[in-house]
Amino acid sequence: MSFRRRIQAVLLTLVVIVEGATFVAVLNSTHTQILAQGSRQLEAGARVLTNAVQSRDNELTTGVRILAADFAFKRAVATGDQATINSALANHGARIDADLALFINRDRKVAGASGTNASLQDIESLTTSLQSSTTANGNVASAIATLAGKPRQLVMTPIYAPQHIGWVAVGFDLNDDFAAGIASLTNLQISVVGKSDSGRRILASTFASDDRFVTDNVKRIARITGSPATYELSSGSYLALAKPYPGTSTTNIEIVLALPLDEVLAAYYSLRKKLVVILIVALLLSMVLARVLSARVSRPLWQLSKAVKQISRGDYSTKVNVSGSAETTGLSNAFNEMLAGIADRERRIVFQAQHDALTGLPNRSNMVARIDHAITRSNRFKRSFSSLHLNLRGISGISDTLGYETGDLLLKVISDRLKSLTRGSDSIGRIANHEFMFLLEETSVEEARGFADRVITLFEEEFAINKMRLDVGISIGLVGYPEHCETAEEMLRRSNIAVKAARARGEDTVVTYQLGKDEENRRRVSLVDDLRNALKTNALQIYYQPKVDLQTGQVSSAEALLRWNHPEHGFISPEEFIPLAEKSGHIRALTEYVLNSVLGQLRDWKKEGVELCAAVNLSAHDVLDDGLPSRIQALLADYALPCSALILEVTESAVVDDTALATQVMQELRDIGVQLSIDDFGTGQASLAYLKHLPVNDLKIDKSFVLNLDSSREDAIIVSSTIAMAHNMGLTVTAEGVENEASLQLLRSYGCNTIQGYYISKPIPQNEFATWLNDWQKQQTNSESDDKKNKPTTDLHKTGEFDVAPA
Amino acid sequence: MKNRLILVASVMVMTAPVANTAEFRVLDTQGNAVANAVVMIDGKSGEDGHGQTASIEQRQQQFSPRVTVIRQHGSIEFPNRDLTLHHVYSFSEARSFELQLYAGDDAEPVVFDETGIVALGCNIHDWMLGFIVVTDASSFGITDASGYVSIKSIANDAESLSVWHPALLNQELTSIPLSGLSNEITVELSQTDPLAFEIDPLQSLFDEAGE
Repeated sequence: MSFRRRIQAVLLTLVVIVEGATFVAVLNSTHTQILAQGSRQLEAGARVLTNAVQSRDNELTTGVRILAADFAFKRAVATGDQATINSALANHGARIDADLALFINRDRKVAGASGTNASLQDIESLTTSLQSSTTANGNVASAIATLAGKPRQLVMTPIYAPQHIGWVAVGFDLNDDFAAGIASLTNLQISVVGKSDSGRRILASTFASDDRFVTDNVKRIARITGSPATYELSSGSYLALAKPYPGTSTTNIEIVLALPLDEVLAAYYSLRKKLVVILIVALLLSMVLARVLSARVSRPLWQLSKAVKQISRGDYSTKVNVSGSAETTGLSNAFNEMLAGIADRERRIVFQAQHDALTGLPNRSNMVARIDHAITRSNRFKRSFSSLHLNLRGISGISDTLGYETGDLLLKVISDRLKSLTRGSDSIGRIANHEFMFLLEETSVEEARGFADRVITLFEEEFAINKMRLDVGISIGLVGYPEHCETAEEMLRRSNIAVKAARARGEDTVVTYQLGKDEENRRRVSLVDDLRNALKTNALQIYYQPKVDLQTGQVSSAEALLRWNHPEHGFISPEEFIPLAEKSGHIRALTEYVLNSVLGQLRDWKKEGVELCAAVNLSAHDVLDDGLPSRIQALLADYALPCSALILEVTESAVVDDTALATQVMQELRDIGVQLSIDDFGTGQASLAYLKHLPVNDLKIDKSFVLNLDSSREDAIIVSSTIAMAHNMGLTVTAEGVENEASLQLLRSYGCNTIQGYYISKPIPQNEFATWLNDWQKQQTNSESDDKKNKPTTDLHKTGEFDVAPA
Repeated sequence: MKNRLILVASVMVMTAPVANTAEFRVLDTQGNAVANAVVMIDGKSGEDGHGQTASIEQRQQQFSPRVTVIRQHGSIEFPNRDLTLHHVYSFSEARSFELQLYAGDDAEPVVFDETGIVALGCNIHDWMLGFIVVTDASSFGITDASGYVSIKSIANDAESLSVWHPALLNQELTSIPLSGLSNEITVELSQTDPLAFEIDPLQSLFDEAGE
């Protein structure tokens, strides 16, 4: 239920409850009050009745006494004459308003009566009971009795003339007049009910005689004496009370007092009507008020909630303005403050998200966004822009030496210096720990180049930090749009390539991105992945290039060469993928692969009866791997091959990095029994001094010296002297790159032990090698027989691909 | 109500043949003496009341004597010795009369020709009560305070006796045979003695003034 409805409901419920309670309480209490008052009136009426009856009693008593003392009456009665007595009774009775007068003689016989035609027996029994009555008021006995159907109050007293001569009794009717008298005193309706063996009978009443109340309820009420109760009649409601006729010992007569409630309740009914009207009006007013009030309260809330929704969508410009009470105004103000606070914080967060904390320059993602915008603008206005990727050199060293605070301070100073170079719409950002980027709007590559030079100049000056003068080197990579890239991502990647190239060149250099380098990079990266897969799927093949012993003309061994036929890129040279493998940590897996494949092949050939050695190239990484010897030994054991079957070719440069370790490993390999050979001799960086200590068996002269051996005098000198030196050191020599017969003859003359080259064969796929070998051996036997015909066959000369040994 | 006379044997003393005298005592059933009891003995006396006059005074708002016995045909005068007016009356069957007697008045004597009991009252003073026994008995007497009465001139042919008292339960005169009768006669009296009364203090003022 909505808040507004709830307020309305609560208010109305409250009003209804209060009104209802008031209504009920007031009416109830009024009703009760009225009834209580009525009861009191009835009780009062009963007391009045008692009092009236008492008075009347006293009157009657006095009256009868006076009558009894009247001399004339005494005289009349004493005569004994019936007629005289009767008339005297009538006369004197009338004096005191008696309806009945009796004279009873000493023998208790009725000797005279007036005003009744009741039987003598009735009278006598009545008077007897009167005499025995103990409610004697002095010497007056009184009782209520019914004589001849009429209810009367009787009083009796003795007559002395001068002696007791009898009793005189007078009676007063209890009739409607009596009831009316009481009624007028008490303002109640009165009924007198007589009880006898045959039931109850109305003796006198102020009610109309045909009223059912009189016949039914009075009798019923008369049974219930004590507390007033309400009764319904044809003529209305009455509050009635029954009491025994006061002052009598007998319980034969009851008086019913009744108070008509209608007139009494008239005021109550009118009050009730008025209350109902008031309550209805109040309720309606409340409903209206509740609506208004709830609206006033809920409207500000609605407004606030609407504003909140807008704000939640990120629109911080919304300001809330709800008026009304102080509370809602306060709430609205607080809300606006909160809003301002949120907006402010969000700005700061956004700023922090987009800027570098230390320098306050835009961060990497910010720069990316800026580049995007620059691209859009560039496209629209057909103006190119450029980026300079700055890589700072030496900061780490400074931080390590002088502390990170100094390093940070230096960076700040640098960023300030760089900022000072920006023009107008340029941006400068810190895109990595020691890397910054300039975004130069509407700047061509040449112009950018000039700018880069200015930056270089800036870094020629030392930086003053904490009274120290620090020198920082810088490399810059330059990329232009749209010349060098199409997207921001490309720009960043290519500027990275450029700056790396600049770094490689040395300090304080600028390199402009060369088209294709990125692709090269990417190619390299994908190749690494592909290489890994190729290793797993055995897509790398081993080709074997035979080495021929010059003396015997037999193939003594074959160099195992990796060949990778990439599904997309085609043939990938080992010169390309082996350095990749080394850099990406795959070299060991590669070496394992090659060793396994080669040794496996050797075993297979051995089974076929072909005994060969295989030469495997080791990388710099391999030669520094001190676990290699034991692994090779294990492998040789696995393949059940003699260790001498394996030749390991190591280049000069592979040894240079850690000569001691390399020497140790090579010595271990030699100790196992594997043969070692220095590859590409003459081209590397190793000095002859190394040669003294390296435990090798053989020396391979680089092809560059052999290719033009027959035409280059210098090469001939180098080769011949190298062979001589090697022999003097106890090493055998292999010459690779033999292309023609002339070179072969020359090498033979120099005493070279083994030759390898296209003249003999280009590298052969492993599954074809056995066949070639077979042909060669056949050829040799034929050649031996045709000694003079030293003609190479077409089989021996296969042109085509270059065989580039790994560097 | 039965009248029960309990006879106690005693000696009857007879004196001179002409005039017999007897003494009697009247007691009630509790043995208390009964005063103002009238004892009558029948017989021919040869007298009647003619010419005899008794006197009942009104003195101190009371009849004095309270009980009087006269022969039939006798008369009684009623001298008023009080300061107040007395309205003497009687509605008795034997004689009903009224006398309005002012102070000091003597009315004419009233003749009582009928036998019976006459109750006297005063209309002005309701408590005044007196009794006259009109008898045709030959001799009679009234007991004194101790209950004794001495009756003279008892006729020789007297045979029976009757006693009357205002408080007698049975107001009918009953004859009791003389022979064998003791001189202690017990009578049954009713609880209330009409002769017992208390004068209103207010009234006594008048007495003092009068006396």
